Amino acid sequence: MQKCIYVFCIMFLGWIGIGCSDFIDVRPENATTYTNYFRTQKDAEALLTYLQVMIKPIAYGHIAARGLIVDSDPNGWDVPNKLDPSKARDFLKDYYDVIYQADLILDNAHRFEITEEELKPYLLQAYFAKGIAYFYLAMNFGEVPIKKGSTNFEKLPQSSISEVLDEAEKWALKAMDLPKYEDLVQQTAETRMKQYGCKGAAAALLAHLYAWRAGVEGRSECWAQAEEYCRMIIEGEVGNYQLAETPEEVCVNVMHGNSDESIWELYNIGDETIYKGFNSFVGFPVIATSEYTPDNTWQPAIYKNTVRKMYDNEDLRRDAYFYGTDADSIYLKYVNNEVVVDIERGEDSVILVYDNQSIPRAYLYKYRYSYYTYNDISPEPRFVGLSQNIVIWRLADIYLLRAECRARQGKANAVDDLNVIRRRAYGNDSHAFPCVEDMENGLAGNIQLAIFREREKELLHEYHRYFDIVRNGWCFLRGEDTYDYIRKEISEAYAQLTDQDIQDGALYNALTEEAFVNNDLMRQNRYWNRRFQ
Amino acid sequence: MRNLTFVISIVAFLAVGCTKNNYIDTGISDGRHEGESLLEYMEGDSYNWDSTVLMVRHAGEEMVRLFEGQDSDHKEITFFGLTNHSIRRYLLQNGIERVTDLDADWCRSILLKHIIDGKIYRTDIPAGEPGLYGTAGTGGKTFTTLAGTQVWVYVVVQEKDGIVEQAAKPIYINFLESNGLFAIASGDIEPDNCIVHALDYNFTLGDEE
Repeated sequence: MQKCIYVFCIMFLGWIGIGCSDFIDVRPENATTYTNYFRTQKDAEALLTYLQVMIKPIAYGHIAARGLIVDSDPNGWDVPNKLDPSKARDFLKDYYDVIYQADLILDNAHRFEITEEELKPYLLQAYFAKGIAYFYLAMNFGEVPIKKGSTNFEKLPQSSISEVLDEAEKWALKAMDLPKYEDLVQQTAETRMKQYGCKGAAAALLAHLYAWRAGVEGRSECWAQAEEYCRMIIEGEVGNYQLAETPEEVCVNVMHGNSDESIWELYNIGDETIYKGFNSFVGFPVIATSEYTPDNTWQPAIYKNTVRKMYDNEDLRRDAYFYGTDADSIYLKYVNNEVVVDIERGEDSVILVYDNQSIPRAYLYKYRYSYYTYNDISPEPRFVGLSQNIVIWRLADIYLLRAECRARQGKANAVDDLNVIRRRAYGNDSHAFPCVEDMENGLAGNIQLAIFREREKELLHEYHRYFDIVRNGWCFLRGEDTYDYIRKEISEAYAQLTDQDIQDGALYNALTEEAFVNNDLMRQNRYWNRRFQ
Repeated sequence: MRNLTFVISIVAFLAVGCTKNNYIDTGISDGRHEGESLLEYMEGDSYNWDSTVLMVRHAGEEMVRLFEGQDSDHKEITFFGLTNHSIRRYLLQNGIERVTDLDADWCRSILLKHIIDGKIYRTDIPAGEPGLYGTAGTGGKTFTTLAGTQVWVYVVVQEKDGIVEQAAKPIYINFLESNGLFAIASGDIEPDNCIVHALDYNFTLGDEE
C-alpha cells in the first residue's frame, strides 16, 4: 500500500512538474492583457488608430495662437501675446499620451503574431509620432523629460533642449523609411489620410527640426540639412507634391484638406469641435448665424488697415484670405431664394447693407467651411467649428523654409524659392525679389526679413509665425542677423524682454501644476519661475 | 411599557421631525395685469422697467399717452419691450450717464420701432425658421411698427416626443432694419389694452436700427 502511495506521489509530482505546463498558460477571455492583445494586425491597427486620435491635439493649441497678428483681442486670451503668467501655462499630457501610445506599439512589437513585413508600417508610424511629439515638446517647452518606454513610470528629470531635439531627430530619421503618401494609400487596405506619417511628412518634420536646431541651437551645419530635406520634398523624391494654382485655390482646396500641396495635416471633418477654439478669428461671412455680424466687437480681429499694409493691391492673397476688404458695402441679399453675401449690389433683392469701410475689422476668409449643430433651445443652427482639416505643413511652407535655409547660408538662390511663392501670389513675375515694394519696405537689402514677411503673408493664420520669430530671433541674439524679430514682431510685452529673459526660457510655455505631480525632479524654467514668485 | 415608549417615539418623530419642506407653490403664471395701463405695469416692476419708464417720459407727452393707453389712434398695442439692462448697457457703452441725456426725438423713434398696433398674442404668431445670417426665413409674420419699420416675428415650436400643442413656443423677433435677431424672454404680459413681449436682456438699445 505504502508503495502505491509513493508511486502515486511521484506520478503526481511528475504531472504537475512537466506534464501540462500549458494549463497555467491560458489567455483570459474576459480581459485585455499584454499576453492576449498584441497578436493580430487588427490589434496593431486599433493601436495605430488610437495613436492618430492622440496625435491631433499636439500640433496646435494654446501656444500656436501666440505670435498671431492681432489688432483687437477683446477677450484678452485669444492671442496670448502678453507673457501673462496666468495664461502662459500649457499641459504636457497630450504630448506624453502620444509618446506612451507609440511606445505601446514599439515595446510590444515582439508579441505580435504577424510577419515583420506586416508589422513594419505600424512601427514606422510610431517612430513618426514620437518624432512629432518630441519636436513639439522641444519647440513649446524646451527642456522636458525623455520617456523610457511604456512600462517605465519612474520620476524623470528634464533633459536639455539638445537632448530632446536629438530624441526627436532619432525618431524622425527612422520614420524616413515610411512609404511615400501615394504608396501608403495604395499599399494599405485601411483608410490613410494625410494625418498618417509618410515619407514626405517625415522629411517635412526633419526640415523643420533641422531649421529649428540651426536657428535656436545655433548649429549652423543644420541649415544645409534642413535645405536638403526641403529639396527632397520640392523635387518629388519623397512624394508627389504640387503647389495649387492660385491663392483662391489654397483657401478652397488646400486648406480644406487632402490636396496635392498639403504634406501633413490633421483630420478635422464633420462634428469634431476642436477647430472652434483653434481659430477664433473666423466669423462673418464664413459663419452664417446672427451672432457673427460683420461689425461685432466680441471676436478678436485683424483690421482692414493692417491687411492693406500687409498685402498690396496686386497681391491675390488680399482678397483670397480676407473677404471684401476694399468693398464699400457688403450686401446680404436673396439670390434664387437663398441668402447670400456679396460686395456687389446687382439686381437682386437686398436684405441688408453694411457700410463696410466704417467697420474696422477684416473678415478672415482663409478658412471657409463651417459646421453647425441643431438643438431645441435655439431657432438657429449653432456654429461648433470648422469642417476642414488642419494643414500643418504644405509645399509653400517648404519652399519658403528652403529660401530661409539658403539665405542663412548666404546662398544667392534663396531668391528663387521666394519668387516661386510670389509668382503664385501675384499671378505673374512682376513682384520678383527685389521689387519696388521691397525697396519701399526696406526689404531689398535684407532677404532674410523679406522671406520672413513672405511666410507671414503666405502662411497667415497657419500658426507658423511664432516659431518663425523664435527661429529667426535667436539668429539676432547671436549676432547673425540685424533684425530683432522677438522684440519687434510680437507685442509690447515681448519688446521688454532682456537677452537674459530669453536665455532663461521666456519664449517657452510655462508648465502646469500637473507636470509636478509625482515628480519632484521637474522644474519651471528660470524665466517663468521668476514670474511665478 | 417598552411598546408604549416605541409608539410615543414614532409619534413624536412624525409630529416634530420634518415639519419643514422646501416646496414653494409659486402659483400659476398669469400675465394679466387688470386695471393697470402699460406705464403703470412697468412702474410696478422697477427691476426690469424703470429706465424704460424714464425713456418713455423723456420721449414726450405723446409717448406717455400711448403707454397710458390714452392714444385714441392706438387703443390697443403690442410692445416688444426693451428692459433696463438694454438701456443701461447702451449708456455704459457710450459713456452716457442718464437716460435724460439721450436725444428725446431719438428715444421716441426707438420706442415706436418696438410698438405694433393691436394686440398680438403668442398664439397669433405663426411658427417660423430664420434664414442664414439671422435674416427673415420661412413662416412667421412681418409686422409694421408705429415707426414704419418692419419686424419679422415667429415662434419656434419645441416639439418633444410628439408633443406639439403643449410644447414650448418661444418667440423671436427680427428687426429687419438692422437684421438683429433676438429672443423674447417673457411673452404675453397683459396690462389693460396692451400686450408686452419683453426682450431678452442681451438686447442693447440701438440694436433695432
